[in-house]
Amino acid sequence: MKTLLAVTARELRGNSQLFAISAALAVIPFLAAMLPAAASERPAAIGLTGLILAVAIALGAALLSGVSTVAGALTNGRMPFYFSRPIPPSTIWIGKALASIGGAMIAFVIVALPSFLASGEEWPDLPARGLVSIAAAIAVVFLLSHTLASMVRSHTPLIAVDLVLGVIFACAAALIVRPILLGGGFRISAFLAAFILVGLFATMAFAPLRQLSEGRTDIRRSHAALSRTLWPALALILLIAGGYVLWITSVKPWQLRSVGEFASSPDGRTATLTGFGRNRGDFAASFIIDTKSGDYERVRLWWGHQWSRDGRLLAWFKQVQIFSTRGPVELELHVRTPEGTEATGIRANAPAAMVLSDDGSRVAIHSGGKLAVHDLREKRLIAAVNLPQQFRYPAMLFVGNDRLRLLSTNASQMTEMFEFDTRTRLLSRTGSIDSSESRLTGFPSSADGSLILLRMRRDAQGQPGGSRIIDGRSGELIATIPISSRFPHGTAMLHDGRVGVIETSPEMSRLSLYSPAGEPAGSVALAPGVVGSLAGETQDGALILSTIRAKKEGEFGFDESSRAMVVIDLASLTVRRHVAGIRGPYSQFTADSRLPMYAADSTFMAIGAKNQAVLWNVQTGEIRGVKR
Amino acid sequence: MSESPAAQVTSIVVRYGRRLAVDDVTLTVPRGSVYALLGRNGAGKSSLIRCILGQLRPHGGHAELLGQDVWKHRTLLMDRVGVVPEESDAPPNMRVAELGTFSAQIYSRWEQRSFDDRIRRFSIDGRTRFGELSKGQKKQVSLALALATSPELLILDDPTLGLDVVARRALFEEVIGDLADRGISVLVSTHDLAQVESIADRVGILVGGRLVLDEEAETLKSRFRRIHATGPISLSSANLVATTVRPWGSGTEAIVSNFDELPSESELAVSEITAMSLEEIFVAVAGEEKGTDR
Repeated sequence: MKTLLAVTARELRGNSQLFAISAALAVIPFLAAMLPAAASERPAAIGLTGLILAVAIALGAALLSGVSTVAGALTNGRMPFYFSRPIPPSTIWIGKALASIGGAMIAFVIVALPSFLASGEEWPDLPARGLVSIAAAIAVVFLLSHTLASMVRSHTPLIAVDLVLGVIFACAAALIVRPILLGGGFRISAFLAAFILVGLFATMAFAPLRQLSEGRTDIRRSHAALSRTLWPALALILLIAGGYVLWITSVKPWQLRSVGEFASSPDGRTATLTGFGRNRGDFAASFIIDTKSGDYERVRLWWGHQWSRDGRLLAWFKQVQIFSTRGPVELELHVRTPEGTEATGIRANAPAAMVLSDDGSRVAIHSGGKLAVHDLREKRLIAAVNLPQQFRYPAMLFVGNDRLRLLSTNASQMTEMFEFDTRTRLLSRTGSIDSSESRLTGFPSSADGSLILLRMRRDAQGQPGGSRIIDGRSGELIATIPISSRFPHGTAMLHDGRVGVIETSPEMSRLSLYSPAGEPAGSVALAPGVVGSLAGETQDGALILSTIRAKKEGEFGFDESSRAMVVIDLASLTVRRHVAGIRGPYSQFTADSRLPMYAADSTFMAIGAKNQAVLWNVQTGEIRGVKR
Repeated sequence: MSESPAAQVTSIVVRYGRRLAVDDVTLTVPRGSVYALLGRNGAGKSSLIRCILGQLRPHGGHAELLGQDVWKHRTLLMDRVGVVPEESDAPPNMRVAELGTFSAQIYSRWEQRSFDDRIRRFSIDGRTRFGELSKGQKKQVSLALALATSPELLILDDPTLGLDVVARRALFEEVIGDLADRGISVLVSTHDLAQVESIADRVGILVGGRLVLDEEAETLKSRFRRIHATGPISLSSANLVATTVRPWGSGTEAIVSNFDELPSESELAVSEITAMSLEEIFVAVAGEEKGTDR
């Protein structure tokens, strides 16, 4: 310790010139404040100039120290001064490092202190964390410049190897963090980046111990010893980070503890699942699961996905890049059919809305003010058109394969209705809706798009505001339904244009049906205090409800005991099946707001006990885990 | 158990890239002796000294100081070894007195009075910055620092390089005086053969990185003779080995390296046989061979 103090003190005394320069610079803020431009805010000018100068001199000193304290001493032949004395290499390095960092901080204080005292309350607001950041920045600049100088000043071919390894390190680090970023794991990415950076600088702080121990007074061997320590240590850090990422991304569908999104294909053969694994932070893992075999494919469904109406084709966007400096990131459309998964080569800049034609042969993509329709089988652009300005939050629906219906709500709450003919490439405005009082949660429509359901906002008393059935092309009002559900998706339009509404009541909740003309068309009694959503229809004439029962008036529990899936027979208006303990999806975030039409014997993805995904057969009622 | 040598170098090899600076050198500095390591510029003296000080790891072989591996135990050994470097390496902004204070914190056997006395004797102001000293004064300060550590071994790497005659003499007198007082071992690499001749017990000559000669100074001096003859010299009959034979006026001059093996001078038909100084021997041995660049 005595030797360390002696070395540190000696190196600090070597900074006397720096301290003298700092003292001279400390006057500059006061001179700057005398300029006429700063006359009105003199204390603030002193404070700001003082702080900027102090940071500049501290970082400059750290940079120069890093370049000279070891590499410079080796080049100038001053290192033997320490090595011909009974001083361990570790003491030489620690003493030099402490003095360099300490010297830079003293320089900071010498420049900043007079300005701080003179500016009083006008001193720039620099929280304690800011001072720690400055100290950390000084250490980082010192270590970085020491490492680079040790390499460059050796003038050996090893510099080229270092350069290559440096590039490999940076690329490997980016590649390690990439899958987490693409999975939306920003907190984990930040943690990983911090781990790699702390590891990098810790290595830079400790590698010189070996550098000085093995290199001693020979700059070439000093460089070689530094590189021999630095790169294996950094490789180990990347290995640990990579292992951690591998563990995070290797989460299995049945290991998800918190399911975010899930949906089932209309044919019931596949399902998608996105969620978070235990201890795996905010990384969202997504899967496409074969409901029969239990096989799964890892995909990234972060940007939304959609099945064709027959369920054979699933399309989703996948990020091509993590960040873009030239605008929104680029996405590529991927599709999965029974034949396999493939990238379509169709790219779009986010944010993009996408809708498939019913047979899955075409896709319409809205991106960057343009609408483009592609043929997915031939993988070619069929038609494209520039959309009007203020075209926002679009709902899109293929009405046949050649016509696309678009609805866009502008800032003044008018929903404009358009049709785009892919053969003539004409975009025509067909109507508009005053949607100022409606809930903008999609535009549920009948299967053919001829009718649209407009769910109204709550009234002044907070009661559900009813619904309207409008013409899908012109927006003309066809009928008004006086009631609506408590939950937005508790009111939906069935494929034949009927409207189903879950009416919540503490005595007896009901599912009420209305004809396309707005006439009451029967109802089914549900349990008291039930809210929920219409999750889909089946081809054998059933309506699937996902319900939650209120524990007491107004209090809806989300625990498994309060949820149930209810299958209503639409012909007889009776409950076919009531399965307690599971729930269906709330909604899918796609441009197509139509209620899904499932096969009669669909296997349906749902959430079961302990919030785990389960597969539920609509026809048989069988519930089983995702794991096979 | 016999006392280990002050320094022992075994098969040291040092390379700089493809160039061989020290080529398989083995030498021993006995305790209490003064070993003069001689060589032309670039002969490998400084590289060898750096290996002996544990500052440079040799590519082959190893060095021991006071019986311990210097690469492994450099820190401990440097407490017992005083070093006067070839280039004065103390920080230029450090004052002479500060160097003493700093050393006092580093060395376990530091003698402040010894340092102060020498500095006073050298007429150096302790407040002077090291960088402001003359070359000779820097060497004097380095010597004062080295001797004040109470070393068991003193290693001087070309201590008189760049010094004038007076400064050289003063420096060696200081060493000799201290040697007489304490009987410490000395390893000195130098060009100053005249000064070292009077104190060296043993001499090693490096040529092109190889140690071509390593023996007692007295033996060395008894072996070498300069022989002058009015006509051609016939050395083979006397079994003498000539390192150099060249014309000398109308006659011949030869330098022989095994004169001590000659039973009687009368066996040689020559006009003059003269003893040689260390410098003359060095020139005879090293002068004819080409030194390396370093």
